Amino acid sequence: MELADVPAQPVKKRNRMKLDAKIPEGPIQEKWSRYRNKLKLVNPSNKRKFRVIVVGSGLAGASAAATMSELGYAVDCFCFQDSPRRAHSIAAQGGINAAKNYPGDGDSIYRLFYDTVKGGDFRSREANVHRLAEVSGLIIDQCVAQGVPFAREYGGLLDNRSFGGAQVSRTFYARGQTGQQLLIGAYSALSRQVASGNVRMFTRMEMLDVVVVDGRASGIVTRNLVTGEVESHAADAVVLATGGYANVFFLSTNAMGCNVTAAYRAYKKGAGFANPCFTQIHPTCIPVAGDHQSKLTLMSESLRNDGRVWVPQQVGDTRPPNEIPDAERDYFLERKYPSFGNLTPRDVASRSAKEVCDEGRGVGKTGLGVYLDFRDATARMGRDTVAAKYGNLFDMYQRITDENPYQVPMRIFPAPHYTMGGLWVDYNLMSTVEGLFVIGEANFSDHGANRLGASALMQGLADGYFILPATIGNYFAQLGISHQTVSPDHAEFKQAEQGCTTRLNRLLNASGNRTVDSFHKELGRIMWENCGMSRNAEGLEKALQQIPELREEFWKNVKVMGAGEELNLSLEKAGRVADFLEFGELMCRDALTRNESCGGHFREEYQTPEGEAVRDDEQYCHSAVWEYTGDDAVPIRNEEQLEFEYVELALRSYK
Amino acid sequence: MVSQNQLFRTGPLASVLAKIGVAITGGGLILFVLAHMFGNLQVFLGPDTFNLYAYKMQHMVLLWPARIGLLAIFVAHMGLVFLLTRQNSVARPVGYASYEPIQSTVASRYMLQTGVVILLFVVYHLLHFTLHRVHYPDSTVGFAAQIEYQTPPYVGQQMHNAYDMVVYSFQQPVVALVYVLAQLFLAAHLWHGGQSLFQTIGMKNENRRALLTRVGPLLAMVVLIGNCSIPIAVLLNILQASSTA
Amino acid sequence: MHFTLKIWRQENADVAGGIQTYEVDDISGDTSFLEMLDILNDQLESDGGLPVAFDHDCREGICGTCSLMINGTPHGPETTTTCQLHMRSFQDGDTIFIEPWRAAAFPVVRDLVVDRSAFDRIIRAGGFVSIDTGSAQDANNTPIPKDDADYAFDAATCIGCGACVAACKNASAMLFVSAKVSHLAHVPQGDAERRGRVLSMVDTMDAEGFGSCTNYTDCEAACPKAISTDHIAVLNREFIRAKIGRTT
Repeated sequence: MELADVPAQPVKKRNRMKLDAKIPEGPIQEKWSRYRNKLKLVNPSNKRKFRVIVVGSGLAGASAAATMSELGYAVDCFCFQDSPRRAHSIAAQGGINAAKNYPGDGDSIYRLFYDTVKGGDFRSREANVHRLAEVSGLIIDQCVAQGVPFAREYGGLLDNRSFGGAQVSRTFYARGQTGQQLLIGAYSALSRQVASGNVRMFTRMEMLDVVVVDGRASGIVTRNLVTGEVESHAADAVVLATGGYANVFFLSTNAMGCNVTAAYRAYKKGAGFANPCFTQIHPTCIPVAGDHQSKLTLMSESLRNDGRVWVPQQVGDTRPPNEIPDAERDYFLERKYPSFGNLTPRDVASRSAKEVCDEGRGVGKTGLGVYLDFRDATARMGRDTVAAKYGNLFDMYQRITDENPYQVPMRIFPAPHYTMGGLWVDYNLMSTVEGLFVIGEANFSDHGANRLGASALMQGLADGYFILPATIGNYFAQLGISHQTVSPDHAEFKQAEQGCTTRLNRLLNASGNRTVDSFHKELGRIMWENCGMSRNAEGLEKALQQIPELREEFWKNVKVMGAGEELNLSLEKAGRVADFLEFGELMCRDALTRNESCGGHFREEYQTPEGEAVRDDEQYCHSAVWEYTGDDAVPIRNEEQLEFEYVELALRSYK
Repeated sequence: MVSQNQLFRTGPLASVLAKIGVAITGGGLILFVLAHMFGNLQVFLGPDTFNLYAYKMQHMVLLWPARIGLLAIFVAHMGLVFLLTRQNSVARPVGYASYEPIQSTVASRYMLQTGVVILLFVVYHLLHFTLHRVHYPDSTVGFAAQIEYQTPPYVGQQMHNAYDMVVYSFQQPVVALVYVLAQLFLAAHLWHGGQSLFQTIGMKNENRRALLTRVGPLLAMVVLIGNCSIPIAVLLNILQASSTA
Repeated sequence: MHFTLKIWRQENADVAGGIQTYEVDDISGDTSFLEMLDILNDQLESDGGLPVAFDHDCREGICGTCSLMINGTPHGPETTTTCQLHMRSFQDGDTIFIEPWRAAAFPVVRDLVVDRSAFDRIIRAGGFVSIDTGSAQDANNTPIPKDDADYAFDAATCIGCGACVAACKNASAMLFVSAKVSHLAHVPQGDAERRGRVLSMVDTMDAEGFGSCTNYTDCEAACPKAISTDHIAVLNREFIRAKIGRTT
């Protein structure tokens, strides 16, 4: 790799990786439009000569595959699920932000941009975030045109709500199933392209490696999950839309299949991994009930619009919640953050819940829970209105816990939910590997150290519908039409296939006596305890010792039943857990080397006496980009300096 | 061409079209069943009225076109059901070890069986009352096949003694029982078919659903009571023969 | 709690399968049905057996991946998905039959896993609005009556799990197909292609080998999203309209 400075920025450290963000010149409002006018174009009749692989079929993947196909590129789309419609974007509940300002309450592109930068605790890239805010409105237009049934008012126009602490109503929603409706929209657009023959859809296919030939991403190696076949697929560019890695915690709100494998393999092939320690712990999840639990269920943050969060004032107060008088309740969010109250951003709300539980005031059997109470909301709005707004969430809660939230307060506890970190990308959404693009949750770009509610759907669709299809054309134009797609018989592919097969066989032949899940659970415990809602150097150092030991035991003692040439769910899981066992270490390393508290990353050493996060803009106003240097070598921490020209670096206060 | 998009393709006989055919022919057959029932209930108005009704039906100008039309509807109904049933039977080649219907009615699940019983009954019914080949009463029980009409303006007109044919037939308990049982099957068939057809032709919606769903059971009860009233009235001696041979 | 499980095991599509009996113990009522199967699989793997393959992913009732015919009812006794079903819905000592969805159009892949790609092919036949990215007008240019939007939403909540097919005595996919037809028939954006859409989707449904609809309505009772068979009436209406409507 080339030694280079990040140009025009105060360089504190010499990076080994070349981290040129390629931010266009000009005032921030004009960067994207000017840049788009300058992007090189591919002649329409030549587009079909370029083949692009899209891995993942969630909001980002499906929208990108569909749009690139509409433009005329040949697209191969892969997903490990049995249908592209099942990607985990489908589970997003609350809504999608857009700076439409339909309610006329003062919203604008600038405000959405500002809120997102501030919400991300000043660890995101200004130019990217502004572009996100710019295209946010187009997303709504596009989705409505696809027939997405957003909530409407009686006049027939779109309804908006305030969400996740925003002080304007800019969130579009479809009951509690916004992610589902948007994904079905993207899936239908993708289906149309599959029908046209322009997209080849590969389901139940898991990407095991990315293949880089002469420094360019040239294809992927997959395992057919039904037949077990390991195959190569070549293309002129590879797009990873493979989501986040919250399952490193074992218990998270992610789907069981969500994994870091694709991103981690890309990292091992030279793509920088940025800010892996930036993970989001969502405050409104249903608390853990027992050891058998396989996942945590999120309830929409919109519940905090009307529900009030509290715990008993006294430690050890075990009275049923309805018997505790108001005077003996601590509405801790309202007390600590009077102006935002129950609507403080996720990281703040989660940490506050953890604090009161650490004080011993947590509720429920495990003591790991706080109340979310609709008593006052019901008195104010009436039970019917509460039911109309939150009925489906209440039903879900009751189904899982067997408690009736109309009668007793819900119990909630934070759970890993989203990961802001991801593969580093430049303004074109290209990683440090030429021709390897990363979109959606899989990249690191727009949310900084903390993501605001209703912004994930926005980012996934912005990347997929509007940004990548424009910037990838520039890449293809640079390749030129004389460019030859690498053959899948190329030695690099064969070698990658060989590597994947060897690894699968190692897992199958380990013949130990511990199940894959038991390793995953143990890793999850280490991560949650030491790299969860709050972190400290001691814990992280301990984790950095424990994880390699666990990994070593895994390869010696894991037990994977069945064969490789068949549908084998344990083998799939084992491969993913093996990657988590390496990735977890990277996450802890990143957390340990970021000596500040910002957003979702809270280091106990860096807090005010009142327990508020202390950011260190002197030292850490950068993205940490990790570079793989070998299995046994310590990865290199590179830095991309962040500059804030349009939003003043300020203390993020929600008081 | 109907399809506007080259991505869309359409085939010859869609299952939905066949279903609509079943619904429409079923609707036609329901109208026939009702007309037939109300015609027959004239038996309670006395021999002259009933015999004249039978006479007029026999001598209707469009008797054969009507018969052929009815037969065509009947055959179409069965033919389409045959096609759909074949489609349904290959749609689930391996059955369940444990299968619990959730809210479907028994009537809906046994439409094919009740339909077959109805078909057999119709054959019997035609052999009996139309072609006079089985269980047709004869003079040994006192039945006179021809009778002179008594009421103006047809006084003296010779007519088929349909009234007595009905009465003498149903005085045989076996015959009465066959008819009553057949009506139970017909009622079951109508219970589902009488409302299902509104769904198939797209008439149901959120507002009309409750109402239209009641049509089937209502129809079934009306036809069951109406049609069974005749053999039962004969058995209870409420209807008695008008003459003896 | 203790349960006796009668589970369909089948190595792959090409070999015959059969019901096997397993016992699980110490199951808490708060365990979800799939977690109970996780426990069984843990047990099987520890004993050197092959775990039972079943489809699942989000485990919060929205992705539509999980399936399972439980005691003869899709997704078991509650109106929800299998992943949101909890063992408290069963009695201690119950025998539970667990089988895959059964339909010619849903061939078994392994054990309880079936191939539902037929649903994807039906959607490809017309379950979309032909709009290229970037060409949309402002979202509020076309008001949609709230009732229509809500009704479209009710249909659009379909998660494509296939319970309707599994529940139907005829293995008919009409509820699935009608949900998409009805969704797009109730928003103006779907208008331009409504005739071709319904004909093409029905055609593909037939070609995939699903049965026909005889209005049992078990599908709506099995549907975890409680999608009403009223949408099937909508499909029928759309179909008639497409057949007898203007052909130019």
